[in-house]
Amino acid sequence: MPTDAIFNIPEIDEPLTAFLPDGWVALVTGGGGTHLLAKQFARHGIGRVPVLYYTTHERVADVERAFGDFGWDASGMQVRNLAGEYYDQVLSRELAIARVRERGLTLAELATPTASPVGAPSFDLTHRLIGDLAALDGRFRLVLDSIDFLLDVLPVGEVVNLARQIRYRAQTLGGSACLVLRPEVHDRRTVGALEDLADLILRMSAEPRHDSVDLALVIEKVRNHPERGRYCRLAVGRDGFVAHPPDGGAGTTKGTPS
Amino acid sequence: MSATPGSISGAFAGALERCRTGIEGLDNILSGGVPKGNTVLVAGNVGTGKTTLSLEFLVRGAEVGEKGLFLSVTEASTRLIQNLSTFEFFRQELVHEGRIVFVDVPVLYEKLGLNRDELTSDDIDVFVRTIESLARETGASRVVVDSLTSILYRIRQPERVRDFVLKLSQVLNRNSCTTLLVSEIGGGPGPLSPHGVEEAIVDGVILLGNTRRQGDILRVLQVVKMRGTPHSRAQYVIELTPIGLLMAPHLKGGRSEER
Repeated sequence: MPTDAIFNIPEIDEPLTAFLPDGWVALVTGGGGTHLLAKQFARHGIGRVPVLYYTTHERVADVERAFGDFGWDASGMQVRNLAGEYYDQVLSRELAIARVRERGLTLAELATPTASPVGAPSFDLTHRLIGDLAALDGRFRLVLDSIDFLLDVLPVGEVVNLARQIRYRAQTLGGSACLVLRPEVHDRRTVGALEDLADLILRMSAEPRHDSVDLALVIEKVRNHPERGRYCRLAVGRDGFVAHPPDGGAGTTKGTPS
Repeated sequence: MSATPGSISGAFAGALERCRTGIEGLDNILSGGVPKGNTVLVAGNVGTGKTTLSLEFLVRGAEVGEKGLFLSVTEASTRLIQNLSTFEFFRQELVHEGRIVFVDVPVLYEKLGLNRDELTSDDIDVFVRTIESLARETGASRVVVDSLTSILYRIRQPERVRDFVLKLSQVLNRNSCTTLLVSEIGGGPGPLSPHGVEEAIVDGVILLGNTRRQGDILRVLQVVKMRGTPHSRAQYVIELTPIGLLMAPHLKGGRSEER
């Protein structure tokens, strides 16, 4: 594995390595493998730099298991289930409050300790992430899979600002970050703001074909290098995504384009 | 009942049921006590004895079988009980036996999700309903809110302030509770409550303050308003002693007043 591998897909890494600035943020959009590509990005940072992996739709064990499916070792990576933390500290509390407001509060319930002590700061997703970013002191890799969850539960401006913070830390420390986004579920202005601050935009797609799907990746944006745009057919091999060879004979598992 | 100058007694007292405060001088002024179910604003600036008067009101009630509920907004109830222990009229058993129940309002806020800067109309309804259910559960016939001012910090719109005080008074009255609402006001002349609407809604106002006399600062008490009973509006000097609040007529002469 090259020491500067981004995804360890040479057909994609090579043009990017030469033209991406030192410290960058990528948006991984579309469907058909965005989560796997984000994991592959994280996997190739492990052992080289600290890797922070934020998941919003998988449990930590699910992420580790997905790594295990490809023989990747996730032990050198910090995996955090933001949705789980949010549920535990915000939604479950809101549920308890709604229940109490609906049916009333008894003296006995008043005496039971609250989830968070009176006066304690409430859980804040943005502060949680910024706190982790602030603790970094050198190169890093960060995956946020996905930013859609944050856009669902936080004000848009706050999420865009958070993305800027990630970019700022990446630029100042020489880090890199992959933010997974489904653009079609957000308004154009929000997507535009995120696309604008991304240095790299990768759009993935999966087209049904007979009994399989054609997987593809389009490099839509490389900051200052529009000529680096590229279309690349992908297959899933034993070590994750590989570029689909022209003859279609790569060692693929499933989802191999015909 | 000993005769207190300025008190109105006998035939004027009427047939209204009274809630004796247990503070002898005050009961005399009120012709036997606060009319049951009334909501009374206990207004005054810092250090004038509002909390002490309110606590004594609950203790004296508990001693004659009237349960009390104290809703404390700014001071932890454990600390209040600690301070109360310095008074000879207080016994810890009253708390242990549930004859006086202390509730920390910040805990209530936390449980009800009222930790926002400004309470909505829905929040106000939930809050009032909860106070009512706690009064019912404890069987309280005497309730103290210390302080109303602290609660109203989160209710900024005047119409919501009016709505809250009105609803609170109504639900506690409906449950036969006689209620004291502590109101913190600044010194000097002016409204008897921070928003100026509270005193118009409540049934009574007891004003506490300070006055100077020959170099001393004296605490004074005055019943400004009490629906349902004739009462004196004279000013009384009060003293906070280990055996409770003592009152004496304020002898006028050579004083410069302040509140």
